[in-house]
Amino acid sequence: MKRSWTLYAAAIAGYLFLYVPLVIVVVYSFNDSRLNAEWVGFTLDWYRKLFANDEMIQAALNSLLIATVASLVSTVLGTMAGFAMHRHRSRLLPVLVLMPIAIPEILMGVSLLLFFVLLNFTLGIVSVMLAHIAF
Amino acid sequence: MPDTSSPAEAPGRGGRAASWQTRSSGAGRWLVSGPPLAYLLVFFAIPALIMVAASFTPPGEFGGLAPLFEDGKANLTLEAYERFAEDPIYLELFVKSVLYAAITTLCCLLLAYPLALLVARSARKYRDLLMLLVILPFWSNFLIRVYAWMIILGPQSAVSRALNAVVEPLGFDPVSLLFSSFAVLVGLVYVHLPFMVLPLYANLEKHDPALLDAAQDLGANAWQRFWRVTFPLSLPGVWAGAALVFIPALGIFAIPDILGGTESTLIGNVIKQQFLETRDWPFGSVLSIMLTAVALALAGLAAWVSRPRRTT
Amino acid sequence: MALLEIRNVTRRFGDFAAVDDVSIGIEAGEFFTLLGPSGCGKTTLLRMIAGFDLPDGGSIVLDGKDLAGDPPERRPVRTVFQSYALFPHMTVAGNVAFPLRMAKVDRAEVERQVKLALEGVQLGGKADRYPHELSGGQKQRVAIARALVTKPRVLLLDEPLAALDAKLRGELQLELINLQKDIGITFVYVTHDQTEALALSHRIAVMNHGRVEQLDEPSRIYGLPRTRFVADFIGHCNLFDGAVVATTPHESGALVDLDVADLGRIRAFTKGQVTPGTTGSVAVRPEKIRISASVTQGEDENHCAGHIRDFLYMGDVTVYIVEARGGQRVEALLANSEAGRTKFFEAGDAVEAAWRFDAGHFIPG
Repeated sequence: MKRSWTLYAAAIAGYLFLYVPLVIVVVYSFNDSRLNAEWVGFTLDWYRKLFANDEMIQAALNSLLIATVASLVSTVLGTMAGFAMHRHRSRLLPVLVLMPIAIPEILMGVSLLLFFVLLNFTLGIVSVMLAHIAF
Repeated sequence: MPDTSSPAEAPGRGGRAASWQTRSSGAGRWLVSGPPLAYLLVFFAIPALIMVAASFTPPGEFGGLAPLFEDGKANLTLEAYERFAEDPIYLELFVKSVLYAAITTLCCLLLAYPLALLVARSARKYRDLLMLLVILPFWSNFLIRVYAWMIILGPQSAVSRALNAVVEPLGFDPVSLLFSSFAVLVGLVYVHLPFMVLPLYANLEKHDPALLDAAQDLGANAWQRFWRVTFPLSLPGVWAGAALVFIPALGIFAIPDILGGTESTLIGNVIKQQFLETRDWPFGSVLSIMLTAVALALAGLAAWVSRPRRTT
Repeated sequence: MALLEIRNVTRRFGDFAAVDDVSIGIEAGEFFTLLGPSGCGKTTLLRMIAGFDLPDGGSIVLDGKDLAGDPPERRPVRTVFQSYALFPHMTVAGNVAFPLRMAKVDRAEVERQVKLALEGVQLGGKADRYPHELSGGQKQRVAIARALVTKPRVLLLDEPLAALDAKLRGELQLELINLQKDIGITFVYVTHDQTEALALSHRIAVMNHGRVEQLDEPSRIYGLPRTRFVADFIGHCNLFDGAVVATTPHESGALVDLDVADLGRIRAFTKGQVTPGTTGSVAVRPEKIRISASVTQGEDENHCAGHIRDFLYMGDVTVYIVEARGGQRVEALLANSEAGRTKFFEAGDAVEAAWRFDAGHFIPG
């Protein structure tokens, strides 16, 4: 099937648009400059500092933990929900499941903030996990 | 057309399917749908209701909410709603957010369409790979993708310098790409692009190539084939993609925070501000409810427009 | 010169020649069919006439003009596809109007012509329906109306009735014949169904492995097959293989004596001259063979004896497979309602078969 070169060009432009920023971030992570405004020189310093910084590492581990738990629980609950919706043709469940997608994220965050505060629930890793799962 | 189905077939098949569906006992049914239902009710529905209630309460003394019941009677007020109605700036903010979301959706459509079209028309064995390549950037962290544009649009970047090398000699002030509406829009488009590509691709992939052959045979050139056959058939995908981009873009706050200047505050920023800084929770709730209303209205519209029509 | 000339057209895919040096002249106003099994190149050839594919060698000439430079949208050739390819997002009227709008015909004229075209295929009342609301037969009629509305020089039909059930196919075949007669446009029809080809066409080109085996009127394709393939592909045919033992000149051809293994000596006619020793096949159509418990052999008839090995009752006729004494299978077809036909044979019955010399046609090779 003949295909026009304009389609190719436009599509390649699209792919470049998607990937170039990411490549730039990776490349600049080796940049020997504090401000990271322009390229100065190659260095592994930043990486050294990252791995030496305990707070960062702890934060990363927190994120990893939250992501893992949220994924697992979401998968389990999601599969159950999917199964239930298919088998039992519930009316309520699809609405509840699909509403979070139709609503901007910030609203989820804000409403859960109210919720947790009202219950005097300590805001912390667990609350973040719970929020991610719901979303 | 003559009916060739044997009468013996129909009742048996109908009966069997029905019994399979309801064979599961009541208990089993609740076991499966129970946990997700409960989870969503507790962590989604109830918080939403709380927010509605919160919009009617007066602000607390030190921020947050005042107690719901004071001196034995309900402490409700429309104060927050009145404030929303009175000050035109909030309506302006909504309009601005809708405008940004609309521009983002349009740009996403223009960028996503060639991508989706190319992948859909590629040989079958390459399609999955090409699609994966589109989705892969999406797996990287949201913030990273936004920070990348800080680098690209920063004043010392190649792009900025090239642009100013052209603009300055012409007598204009140096242009700052970063911390502007332009940067916010670029960020918005960049982050939401995959959401437009996927539904478009899903739709385009199902198009019958014979239709394009027929159109060509009947005298249509390449542009006419696209505009009169491909595009109209892809409209359900376009609406689905538009909904998936427009609605999240409405409430975005991180991108204006990072890439935007003072004039690019959107409704999402204000909501965050109300809850975390100003701590006027009732008012924040009012804004949130307004945003929810707009989002739901648009989602409903999108669902209605892209409802499956029988087009086999 | 013929309206549409296919001159030495070849199309290769790698080493494989889908169309191999084919030359055909199609006359104006003719219902011309390309007939052959799947993979014989007929659809590839059709696509090249339409412009969706370009020949590697040779040329396609319409009205004296070589079509090579023209993409499909500029050729005065329209196609009816097997899958109808109706635009699902347009009404029936919209579909039929499409080519007129591409040709920039003005609104009022478009409406008029669409109305005429739909009435021409008996779909006048369905203009506002959508394709998914139509039956298979109706969809095909819309496709035909859409293709004919701009009055192309040639209409190409790519197995248009293949997706329909037998009864509907029969009805539409009649409609197609009448339509073609009324409009007078040249039809080039592609099918693998030989009964359809025989019924519809003025002339048929039988194709196999990219080549034309025989190009002739239906009656000659059926009665005087030029190659073994044609004899075998069209209808049922007995093919007795052997070597020519003797020839006797007869009118414009010859009467040949053939020695067939497991059968014996048989005689048949052939066009042109054949030298003794040539190998080939005698093609005899089953309906030309009479069988009976005992058969008096006429002077100009072949004869053999055997027993019924098998039979197929088909409602209006029965096909009997006779195993001759020598072992050769002979297929005979008898009408079930023939006057005086009292006996329906069973497997194992002893019978004798006879057929005239001129019922057999010798094909060398």
